[in-house]
Amino acid sequence: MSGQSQVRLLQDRARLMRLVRAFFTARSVLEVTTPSLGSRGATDPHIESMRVKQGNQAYFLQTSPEFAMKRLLAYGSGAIFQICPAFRGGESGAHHNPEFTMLEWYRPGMGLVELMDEVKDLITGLCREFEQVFEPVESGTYRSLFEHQYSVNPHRVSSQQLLEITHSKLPGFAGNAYNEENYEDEGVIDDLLGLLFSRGIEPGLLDPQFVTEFPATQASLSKVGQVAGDQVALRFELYWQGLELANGYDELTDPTELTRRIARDNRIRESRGLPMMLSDQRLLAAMAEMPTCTGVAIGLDRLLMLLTDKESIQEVLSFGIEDC
Amino acid sequence: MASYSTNEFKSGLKVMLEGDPCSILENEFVKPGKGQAFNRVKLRNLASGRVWERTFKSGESLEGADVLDLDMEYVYNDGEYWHFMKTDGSFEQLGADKAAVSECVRWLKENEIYAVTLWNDNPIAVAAPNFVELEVVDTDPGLKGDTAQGGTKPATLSTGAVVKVPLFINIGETLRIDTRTGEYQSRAKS
Repeated sequence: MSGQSQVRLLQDRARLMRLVRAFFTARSVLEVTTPSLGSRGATDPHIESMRVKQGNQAYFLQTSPEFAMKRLLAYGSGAIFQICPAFRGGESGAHHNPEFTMLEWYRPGMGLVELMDEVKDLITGLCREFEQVFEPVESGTYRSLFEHQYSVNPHRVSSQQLLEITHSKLPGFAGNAYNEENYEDEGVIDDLLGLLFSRGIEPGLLDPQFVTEFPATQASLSKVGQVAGDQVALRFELYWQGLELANGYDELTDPTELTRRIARDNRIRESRGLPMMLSDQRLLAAMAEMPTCTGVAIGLDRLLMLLTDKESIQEVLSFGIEDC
Repeated sequence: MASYSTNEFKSGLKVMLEGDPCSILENEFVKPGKGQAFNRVKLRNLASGRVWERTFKSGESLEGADVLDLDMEYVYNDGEYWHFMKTDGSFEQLGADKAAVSECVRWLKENEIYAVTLWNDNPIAVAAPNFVELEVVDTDPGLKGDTAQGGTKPATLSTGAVVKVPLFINIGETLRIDTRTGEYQSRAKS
């Protein structure tokens, strides 16, 4: 990168941060700072928490500020936002850097529809400043997009059916990892849904679009509800130019359910030879005290890519993983 | 041979896939936010030259392929094999079959140097240098006069390759040919 474009990038990044802060300040959302290190990491089998040592104690670089921010919500912080580094091991590519910048905020008392509107307001305002146009098309449910592309209900499909679809729709699917011996593994359905969604649907989501009602097994830390007889996760994602930009939840506030999900995560981890992750007792305690709220995270580097017409995340970082 | 995990895949790495040695061309990391990560990989099958696209679950690994590109001098053809000699002073020769020589047969000239791809010490592909100089063995008689005019005619070269050449070219002349496009470049400087 030339010196001049490097300086231009720094200016654009600074402007983005300034505008985001102004947006939340105007809405009386409190800016907070939580540690990048935590004694517990993400339990999600697909997210690798990087380990660091401090004295004799192992810590995890946080994959998102979610656990700590939920503890603040339980203390009665009210609406809060944070811009911070987040770390995910092994994620490196045109749209991923193992260390990236996350904007995350929580809204006690706000519903998902209102939160999607707030996301839209934020990005619309940013786009105006960066001379871009942001006009989301009507939201689509995960099920409607999936049925349109693959003609099956993703909430009821079997792993065997998904394997067949994967082999017929993705001819280059090497598939060594999924065969008769292990397709009963309880994580396989999500793996294949994710693959089919990210290869067959995401690239087509060029206009900004919110996708809602995810498979219940992908609820992570969101609530689950019943829609048209299907169990769905009450969460949304925002796509633009084929990129996932934001991920919002109607936040789970039930510690018993969280304990159940952590156990499932660890069963999948164990069957795949991944390290088991201890549950965060502080988070479980906070969850019982937390107000009903929604929360959303936005990858700011990806957003900056789109705001400045860049093809790769490396182009919007001062120094990417190959250069740090 | 070592094996390589998807996170070690990079352009130029040689790996075994479905029994054939392949060279990785592109490796794209695909990951739904909280879902399983995959790698979408483009590979060139070094035996067939075809480009394959495959999706691997991140963390899967492929065995490395013992593949080596070597500059070798073309010596002769015995009717079945095209023989190449190492240029390291060992005079060691290896025979490449028709599948390995493939399209490059049109540009094979004795004593020229070619890039031979060896897999487990067997030639599986031969690549010509970007330019070769070959003699015209047959073409219509040259037209005198306006050499700037744009017309072309077919000419057969000493290797049997037929290329389009300007009208003023005659039998016996040596031409410089771009092997990537199969096009006439100029008369060879003698």
